[in-house]
Amino acid sequence: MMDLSELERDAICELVNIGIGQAARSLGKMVDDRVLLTIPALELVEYANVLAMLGTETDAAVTAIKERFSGAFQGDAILVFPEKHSLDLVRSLLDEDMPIESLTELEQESLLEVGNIVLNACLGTFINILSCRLEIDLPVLFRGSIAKVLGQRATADNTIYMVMRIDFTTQKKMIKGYLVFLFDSDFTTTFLAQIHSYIRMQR
Amino acid sequence: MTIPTICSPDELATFLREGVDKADIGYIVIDRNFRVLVWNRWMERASGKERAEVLNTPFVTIFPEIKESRLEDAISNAVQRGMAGILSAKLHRTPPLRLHRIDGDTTPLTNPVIIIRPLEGSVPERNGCLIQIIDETNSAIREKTLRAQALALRAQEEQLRTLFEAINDSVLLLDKDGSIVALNDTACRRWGGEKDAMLGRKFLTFLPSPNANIHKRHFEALASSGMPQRFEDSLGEYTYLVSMFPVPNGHGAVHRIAMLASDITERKAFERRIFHLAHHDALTGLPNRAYLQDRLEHAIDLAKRMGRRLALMFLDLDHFKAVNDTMGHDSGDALLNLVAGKLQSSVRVTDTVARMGGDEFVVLLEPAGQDEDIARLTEKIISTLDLRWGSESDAIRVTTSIGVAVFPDNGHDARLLMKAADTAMYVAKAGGRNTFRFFSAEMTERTMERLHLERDIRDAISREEFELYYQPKVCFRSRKPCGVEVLLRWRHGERGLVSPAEFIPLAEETGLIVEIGEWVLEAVCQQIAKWIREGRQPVPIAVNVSPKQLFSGDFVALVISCIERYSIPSRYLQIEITESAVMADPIRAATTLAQLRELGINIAIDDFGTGYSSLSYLSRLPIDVIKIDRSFVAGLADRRENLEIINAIISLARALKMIVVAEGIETKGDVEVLTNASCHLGQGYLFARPMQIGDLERWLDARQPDHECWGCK
Repeated sequence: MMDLSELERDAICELVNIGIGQAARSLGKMVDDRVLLTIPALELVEYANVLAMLGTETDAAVTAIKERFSGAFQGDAILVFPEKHSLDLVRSLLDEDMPIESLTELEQESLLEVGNIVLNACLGTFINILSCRLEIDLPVLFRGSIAKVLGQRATADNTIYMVMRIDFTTQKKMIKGYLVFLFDSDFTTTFLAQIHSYIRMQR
Repeated sequence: MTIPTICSPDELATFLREGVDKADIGYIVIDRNFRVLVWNRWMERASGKERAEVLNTPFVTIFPEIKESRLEDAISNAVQRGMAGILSAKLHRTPPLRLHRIDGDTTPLTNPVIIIRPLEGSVPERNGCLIQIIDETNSAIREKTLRAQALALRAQEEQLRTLFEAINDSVLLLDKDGSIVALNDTACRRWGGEKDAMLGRKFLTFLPSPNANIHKRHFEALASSGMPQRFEDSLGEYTYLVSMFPVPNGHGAVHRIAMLASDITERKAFERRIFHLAHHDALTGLPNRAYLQDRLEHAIDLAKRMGRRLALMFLDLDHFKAVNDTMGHDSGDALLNLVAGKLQSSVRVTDTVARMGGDEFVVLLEPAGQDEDIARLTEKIISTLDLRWGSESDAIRVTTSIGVAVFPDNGHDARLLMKAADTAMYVAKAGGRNTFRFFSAEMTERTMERLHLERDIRDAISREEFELYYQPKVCFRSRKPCGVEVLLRWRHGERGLVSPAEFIPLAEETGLIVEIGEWVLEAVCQQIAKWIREGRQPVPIAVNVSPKQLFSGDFVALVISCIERYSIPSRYLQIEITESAVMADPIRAATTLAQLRELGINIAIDDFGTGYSSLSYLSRLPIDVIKIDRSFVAGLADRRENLEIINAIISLARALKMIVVAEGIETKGDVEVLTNASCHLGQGYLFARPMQIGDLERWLDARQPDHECWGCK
């Protein structure tokens, strides 16, 4: 288990907050509504703790938007919503009040775009501030259990997740989502090394 | 990219160009300075701009609307930072690009999805990006339709749900195994309580087992036949009508079962009330004419089958009009209610009392007894309804006239019977009111006569019309009197002496015999006491006791009370009981007779030989005396067979240490034969007729009774 120092935690939070601030502006512009995005917590945890942080069971249904990133560090950036909340978010943004029977094609696309905006904003900040090179693929939508969403590596012993809760606050409601960064093999270390150099530069 | 060698690079370049051109999406490639490098045919048509016009032109120049937009950001991210992006069709209030649809119409393209992918150049400076534009109008239309359908469906569901809950009946949807799939609030309240606790559970578990069985039967019938079921059931006060019908699945098979239970408790109560109103008289609550008609017809059917008799009484109050006229209708109504109550308490529960209207009532006796029984009840009703109505000073005497018709004697159907009873009632009115008439005059006469006789018997005791006669018994050996039998005579005020054969059976039938018997016993004890008081040695007096009295239950107590009251030795009292009475209930008779014998009273069997009792049976009864019936004695001298019987009786009686008395001694020949046969005592006209007490005393004085004779001990 890798612990984060207070400093590291603050640095990452700051980066992500810069990114999602931008994302909030983009979203707000699109839907003519003020959207507030906040990151109240960040942890580096193992799989079991991911579930605890997400407050969900292994087989509970979730909706996730996943983007694969590669380059300076490699892995998946995932925005996870408990099933119902993902629709709540889309419908809240689209100002539609519909029953939750199904996610239509266009709603799925909208959800993808929201994920794209949020995840790109975070990753873009990493790229800008850490001056590293990353290639980021198109977002993909997953629905199913958290285990399925996280993939085969999910339960591997040494897999470390960087998990942040992200709150979407529109004028109507607040919707909770989670940002999960899942680095391939040793890239967590690489990422933290980058963070360290960033912290040094700030001093 | 490794290029397969199946075609030349030139051919491949052509294919790629042509492929891109013919793609059904917008396909744009721009360089890192946003200058357009590729612009396919789709784009030419959607933008109205030829490729030649736009090549090398900055994207922002072609589409000025993208300045500072999300699309511009996304393109920058792709070109500068290698990030792919997607712009969805819905999230944007205004389309990110001004384009037209290309499929025939030229309406603005409002629902594009734009996918942006970074393209990596040979050096970062040569990076670019691919912009794909997809027309999602059809999806948007489809979504709109789906949404409208969903909304309509939801509205419909809401309506149905509202209806479902608004229904005042219990509605349940059951699975094929009987478990509850859905139920409305009414059903919850009716059967269980908590909706969540009921859902998924078997409906039958919420019913008591008798109800559950009924439901189960119908449920299974429906499941096997697919036919809707309808039945009534009740739970305590609650009565409900259940409809079960199959709910088919898409293929017509029974999928689920809908059950509707309508509360019909009120309707049932209402029906009962309506029935009551239709069949009963509002004032008295008695059955009305229509209901009586039903009951009568039913009673006739039943009586025909069972071979029974019915009696129909028509009653009409005499002088009712006077009550109404002088005291008002309220008073009249009160009187009718009183009469209704009195009538009902006069009859049995199986009988029907009905009000025909006005002051007319009908009583149906079902079943009816003999004419005399009917007449007796009719008389009782007449006397019960003989009332003084109103305040003391101006009371009106209200009486009743009754006409009686009997089934089957006076009619075989309801109509004839009613008519007969009605006719009889008018005859009763004409006959002076406060009386009754049968439809048949002969029946009236006969029953009236009996009723009068009955009343006279009742009065005879108080008027002291009964007289006692004593007939002595004589010892064959000593020729001296040694006891008497007391006999009852009735000296009727108008008719003179009435034969016991005429009034005893009626007294037996009416139970008056008990009262008469008490009077006789009392008088006899009094006589014995008087003899003792006068210093005259009493002879034993035999009293005839009717079976009704013997079996009345308190006869022994009565005897004890008399003996004690007059302080007489019990040996002077004899009880005579007929052989047939004993044989009617030998065990009870034996018990009572044994108790009497314990007191020291002699017991005699009267009319012996007529009751077909076996001689051996006698030995088991507590008997002291056997009185041979007169029929065996009459003409004894000429009839050998009777003598043999008498001989047999005497020898057996002697063996059992009983005394034998021969009755009906009329000739000297009888005396001779019986003396020879060793018969103990005789009684008959030859010795003495029954006499009044004065004559008896003189007769005894003249003959010196033998107090030591066997029969007198």
